[in-house]
Amino acid sequence: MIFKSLHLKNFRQYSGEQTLTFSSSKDRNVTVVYGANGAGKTALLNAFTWVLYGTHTPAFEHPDDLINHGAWAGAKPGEEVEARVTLTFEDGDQTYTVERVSSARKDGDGKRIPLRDGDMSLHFIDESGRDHVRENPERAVRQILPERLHSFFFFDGERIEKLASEDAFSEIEDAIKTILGLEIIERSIRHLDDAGQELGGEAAEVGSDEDRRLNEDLRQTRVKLEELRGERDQISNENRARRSEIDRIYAELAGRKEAQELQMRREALEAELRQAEEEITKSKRSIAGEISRRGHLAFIEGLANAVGTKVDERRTRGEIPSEIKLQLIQDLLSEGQCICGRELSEGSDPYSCVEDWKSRAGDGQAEDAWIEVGAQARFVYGDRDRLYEYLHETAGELERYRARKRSISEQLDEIKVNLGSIDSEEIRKLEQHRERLGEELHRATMRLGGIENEHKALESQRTDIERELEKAEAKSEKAKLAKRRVAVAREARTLLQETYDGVTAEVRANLDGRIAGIFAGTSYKGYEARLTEGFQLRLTKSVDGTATDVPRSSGESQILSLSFVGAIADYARERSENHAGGDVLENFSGGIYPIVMDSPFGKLDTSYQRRIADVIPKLAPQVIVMVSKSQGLGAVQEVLSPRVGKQILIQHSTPDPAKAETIELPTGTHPFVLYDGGTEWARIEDI
Amino acid sequence: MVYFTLAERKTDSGDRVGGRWGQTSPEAQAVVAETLRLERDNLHLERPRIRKELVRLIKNHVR
Repeated sequence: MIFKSLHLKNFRQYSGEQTLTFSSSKDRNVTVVYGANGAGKTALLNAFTWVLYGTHTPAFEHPDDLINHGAWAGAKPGEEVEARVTLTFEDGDQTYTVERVSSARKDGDGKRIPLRDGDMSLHFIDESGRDHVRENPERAVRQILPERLHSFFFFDGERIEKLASEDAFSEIEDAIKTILGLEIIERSIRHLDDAGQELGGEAAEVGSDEDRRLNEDLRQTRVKLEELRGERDQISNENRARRSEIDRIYAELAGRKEAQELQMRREALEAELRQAEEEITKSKRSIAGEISRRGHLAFIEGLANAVGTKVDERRTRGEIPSEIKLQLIQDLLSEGQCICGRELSEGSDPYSCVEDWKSRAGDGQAEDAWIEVGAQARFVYGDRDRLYEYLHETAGELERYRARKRSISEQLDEIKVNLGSIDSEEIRKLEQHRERLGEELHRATMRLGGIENEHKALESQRTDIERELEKAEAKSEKAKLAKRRVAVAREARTLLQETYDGVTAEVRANLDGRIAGIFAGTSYKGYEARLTEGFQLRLTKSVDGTATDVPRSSGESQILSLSFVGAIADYARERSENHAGGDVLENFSGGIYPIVMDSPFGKLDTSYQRRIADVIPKLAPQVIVMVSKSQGLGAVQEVLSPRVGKQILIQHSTPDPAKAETIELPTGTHPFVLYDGGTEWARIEDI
Repeated sequence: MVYFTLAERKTDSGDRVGGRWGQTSPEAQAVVAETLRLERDNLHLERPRIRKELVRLIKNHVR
């Protein structure tokens, strides 16, 4: 998928018809779109997501209000006004044009009568140049780029850093499963479970009373498990919606002058809070791990003392080290000659004399063991002291992180109070809504933890019942056959489950390597990026050969998240090249995808801006990046310019002549914000 | 065949993804293949219909 052009008609700020064309050059794969704050950068990002999927990003305010206000105001009563987006792209050998329209008619009182609500069409031109219409455009687009993946290819650059947070693992896991088309296996496992249950019922009918009782227990356990999964999925979906709504509120607060500073501070503090919470979890895990590994050292004092005393006693008695070794005496007696040269024949005096030494000689092995035990007993104290020291240090760290968390929470409370006291009904309402969502999110997350535990317990209960059922002896041929059928259904389910786990782990490991590769190309601190087995993005450094988590700044999180996006894009590309077809596991054939990102340099200092500018062209074969004047010039321009194939300006109007401004680009000085006597519009200018 | 590709898939370290495939009965292997095919080709089918079809298939394979 390579974007050729995007055509907008009366879409949000863009009045009339506007067309953007994008660079598709291999070496200069970046298209930079410059736009002032509020000019229409986010609207442009959303033009992509709307035309392809009918969706919008969290920062897109009033998503139902798509028709340009100026066009609506200028329409006569009875006239239909439409917002239309047309995207032309190449995929494989074909050129597609996807279009979506929403429209409304203005009645006599100026009210809106909705006519079309995001109607979509998809055309493609075949090799002979003939135009065809695709029957099911939504499905066709999803086949090219699955909707579950689209948030990784069209995103708000500042918010992408959230992928690196502790609770983003489900989003990452979902993406991996989508890449593989694993939903088919998920559903197949469920179907085999259903079939197994039905066959189990039939087996119980021809089986013993015990079989019937166990089967009923199994049925009830399954029902509870299904209920729990349903509840878990529902809560997860609701949480996603809550998070997205909170994001939207944040974007709205950040866009209001009176709340902007407080909101920015809040977002920075929340990032710090997440960091502190991660550190607390890490410290707790570390303490628990050390206690589980070396906790016995705390109780070993008496035993170690006793061993030390025994060793000392033996030393005092001269038993260790002994004057002569038992092995030597035995060798002399069996060889029949003493070290002085005398013959040692059994019954002779010299023989008895040497044999006497047996009782005084020491057993070499026992002696070595005693010496080693004595030394170990002394080491135990050292190990114990080191354990105490480690626990003391880690507990101190834990307390510092807790104090940090308390302090951040207090500052966040203060921000909440300050936002609530701003003299604006709208801000107050947004703030109240945010608080309610936050509380709901907290409660729901606690419940998810509970569900996870209940689920584990029920799964283990179910395995036990299934084992008991397998063990129960079948009396008749009919019962034996029924049992075999149940066993085959279970065997097939287990096999699919193991395959599913194996394939997921395989792709995770593959992406882990790719992420590390992309991140290594940008890092100057020697940090390593990892995708853990729990599908979490981590930043580590090697301490004495062990990978240790390091705290991340906002910039590091952003680079880490971008590395994941780049790894997904790279994996999808490779999959499209190697896809042979025919394997049901390879339901998603991959593809080449462009990345469209809005404001990826927002809150970062110059060094991070440089690093991100360096990594952006490497993320995908085509990258469209939207920047403001302050973000896109200077360091960013300097690093990006060798890879920029196209520059586009979003010019927009202001009713305030004092706010008019120009932009200095290598091509010269261009009008950027224009004074236009009160009319507000945005238009596209190729430069 | 679907189950053949499943069995032959390997991880980067060379381990088979369908590790237990070799120790699975031919009936269970066939059932897995049929289930995946059913699910892939009949996305529009409701869950109870797929369950019925699967029960029929398993009975066919295990007589």
